[in-house]
Amino acid sequence: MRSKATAGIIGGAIVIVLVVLLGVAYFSRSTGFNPFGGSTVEVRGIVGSEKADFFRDPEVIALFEKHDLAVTVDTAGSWEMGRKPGLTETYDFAFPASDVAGRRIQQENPDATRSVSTPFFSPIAIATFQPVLDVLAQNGVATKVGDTWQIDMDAYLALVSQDTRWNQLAGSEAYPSSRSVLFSSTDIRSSNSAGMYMALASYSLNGDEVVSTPEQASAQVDQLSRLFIGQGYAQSSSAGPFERYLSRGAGEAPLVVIYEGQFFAEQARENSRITDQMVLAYPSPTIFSTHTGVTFSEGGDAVMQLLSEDPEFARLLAEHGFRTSGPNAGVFDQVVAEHGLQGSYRPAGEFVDLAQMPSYEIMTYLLETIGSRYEIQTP
Amino acid sequence: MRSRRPEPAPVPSTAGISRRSVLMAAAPAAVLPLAACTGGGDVSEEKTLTVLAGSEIRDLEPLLAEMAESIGYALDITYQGTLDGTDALVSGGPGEYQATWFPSNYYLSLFQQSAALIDQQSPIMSSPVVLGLTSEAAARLGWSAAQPPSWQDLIEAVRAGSLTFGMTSPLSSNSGFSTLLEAATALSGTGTALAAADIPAVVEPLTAFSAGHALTAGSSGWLAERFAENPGAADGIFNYESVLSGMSIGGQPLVLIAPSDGVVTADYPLTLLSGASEEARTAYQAIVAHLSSEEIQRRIAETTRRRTSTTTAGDAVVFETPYPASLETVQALLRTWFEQTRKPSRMWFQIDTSGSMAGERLEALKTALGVLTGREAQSANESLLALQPRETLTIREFDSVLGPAHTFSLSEDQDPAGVHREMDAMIDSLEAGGDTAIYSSLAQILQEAAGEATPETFTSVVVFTDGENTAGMDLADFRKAYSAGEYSAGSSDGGSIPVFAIAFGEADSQELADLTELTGGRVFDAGDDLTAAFREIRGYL
Repeated sequence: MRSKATAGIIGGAIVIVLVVLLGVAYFSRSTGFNPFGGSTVEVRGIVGSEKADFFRDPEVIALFEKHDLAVTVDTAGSWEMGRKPGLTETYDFAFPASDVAGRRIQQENPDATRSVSTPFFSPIAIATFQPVLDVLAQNGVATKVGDTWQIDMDAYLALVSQDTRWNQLAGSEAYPSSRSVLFSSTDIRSSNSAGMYMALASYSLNGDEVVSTPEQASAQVDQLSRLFIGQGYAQSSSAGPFERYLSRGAGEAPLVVIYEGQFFAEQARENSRITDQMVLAYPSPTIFSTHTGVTFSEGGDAVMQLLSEDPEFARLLAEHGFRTSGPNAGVFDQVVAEHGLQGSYRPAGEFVDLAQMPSYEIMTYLLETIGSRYEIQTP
Repeated sequence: MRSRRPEPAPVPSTAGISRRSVLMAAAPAAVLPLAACTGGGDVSEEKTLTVLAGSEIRDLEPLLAEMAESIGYALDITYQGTLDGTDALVSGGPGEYQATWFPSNYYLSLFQQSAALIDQQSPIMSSPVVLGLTSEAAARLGWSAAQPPSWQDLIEAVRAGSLTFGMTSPLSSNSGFSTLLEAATALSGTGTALAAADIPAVVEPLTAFSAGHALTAGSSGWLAERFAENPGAADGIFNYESVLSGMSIGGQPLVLIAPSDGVVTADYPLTLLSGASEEARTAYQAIVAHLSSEEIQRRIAETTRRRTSTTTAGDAVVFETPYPASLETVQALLRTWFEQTRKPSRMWFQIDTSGSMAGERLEALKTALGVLTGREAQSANESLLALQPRETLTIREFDSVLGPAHTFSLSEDQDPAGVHREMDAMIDSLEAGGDTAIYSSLAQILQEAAGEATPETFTSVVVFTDGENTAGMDLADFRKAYSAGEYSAGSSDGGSIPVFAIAFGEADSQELADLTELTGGRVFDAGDDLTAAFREIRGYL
């Protein structure tokens, strides 16, 4: 931690005395602490970029303040954040978007970790466009189930393995791209949502079973690598591809792997950029991203407890598209209905076909093996 | 003011191009700002982020100055090309910079060091690199935004002799690099991102493409200026949509064509570098929040014509070219472009070795000329600035009189190292003495250059001088003879040989600016980094 020269030496000394008095270990991280202003505790977290908008929402900040917490966050890819130097000293909590990434942080920082919790989750979804879905529907890859669209992973993976181009599909006049049919994701080497997509694809390729042996895993590496290497460069955080989806239209990427909540948060806000041509589809099967908070201080604990249990936070989380679990499960469906968007989002009870993440060891093996393929491309 | 050499400000043009940036229009042509601190001296150092940025974002300076007024945070910007600046960061670390703001972080992300260099990044706005055609050319070719050609169609049009274009150097400028990547990816026909193994197959079509390359430049802004002043030089130029949509030729707006296979879009991520102080982090977050706010996003869209969160995608679907995931692929593509497929350069360097150059200046000159032989190269990309296969370079010393011609050519099957060492030996033998006869010497060189110029090469003259003209004809005499066509006699292409100038020491920048403007070139103020000036000028040749 660098010193804040502006705070002044005297102010700094008072702060230190208070730190000792309060016995609050994370004080060295405080920046603008006012020693005379009351008991607000500064808490700093590092979070997957998908949660940055939530933590920077003025309403969320105000609600934290009501609980005497001043929470600021930095963003990093969920797999990247565990590698940040000085993670547990700089931050009060780390909040990746998967339990596997969270557990990895815990395992690597056994002494600094105080608690691990999973206050909410997000289904992986595909942000796409109606003309694209129509092309896929004509080719048996997309279907409407009830009110929501779904994309059949087996049919999609078959197109990928045959290197199908969009303009080779029936009805492709609506989307005459010469590019290969391929989901766009974040960078598999750094980002959780790409990791979730990889886990999902491995589950489908393995005949709808979790990849559980090294043999199964290595048999899939070629096919899985193509899903990522073929995309070329990918952004390291999930906010990137979705922002491009919103601002660039179907030409940027016809099928973008996102968290469902990103789409909802955009659709629910004022001046939403979601047009009637933009559609959320669920892969079938889909997979849940379990946002996992790893805390390194009392302040971090306090934040996680509020997110897990407080009904006011549950509402704000739902507004941002996160599905709370535990005592506030069901708030998301309620908030979706309040926005008049029921039908666009699958109710919690209707996720029947769910893929599971492979073990930490298998995930690590697949991520590292696919990651290493990026470096050997010269002829 | 910082020491690293930026790209010079585009020379303002009053005719043809309807650029709206107040700041650009106010920038004097010859006195080139090294760095811009937006928001003036009111903002304290703790609230100022030092930023290494692409010259493309100069058009944001008015908005950034307002930002300093309204939120009390400012950017202290040094301008450098995307590839150049990235190479410097990768090899030297963040140094004095706390943040970067290039058109894209794609290139940086290819380096293993990028994870350790980037703390966080926030794309602020975007603009694709497309082809802006004159309305006449678009009508003749039958292309429109709604009916765009594929890259294959573009190549066929060039082969048929019905399309000529301008693009920037892929090494110096992100728009040129994007254009090359769009072309190579589409022509590879793989449907996925370009891989190094795909490159040999695109050499032939890229070479055919290069035959139509009529205008080159080291920066996107300057290419646009050049084309606006001289629209007869090409049918159109590849540039950012934001630059092209502000241009008109002969009263008609350009027709913007996004090739149907795909384009590369710059997304301008403001990027906090690792190791930045707490103050810098706070400043970064405040600045990103401000720039991402709805009002500022709207104003960015209005004033710069870039796409922001307030603009919606247009009606026509524009496909995005995927970017290669490996550095090897990018480097192989650049190497192929410069060594095999690009239209080769025919360069004439007129080098001042008058008495005032003696001592340190002569040593600095020898070092700087090493850019052309590769001995100053600090990265794989910089070595591409050396004389390339198929290129020819003539170096002529001048003082009171013009010295003999030292001409070096590199054929495709020749070992470059041998020729580069011969050049080194010649450069090391330079000695200083005598007066400075700039214009008499230039007149002679132009006549020779015009005699040799062909449309199959980019012919250009570089005048390097450290002092005022003290012998022979003056600028007025030169101008008279030049305008009368005396230096383009007997050439098929001689009328359009641009003269570039590097002003060093006591050189008269204003007079050199007048000279280069007359000939369609540009002046570079070397400041205290002559080598950087030579590197930069190579992007224009």
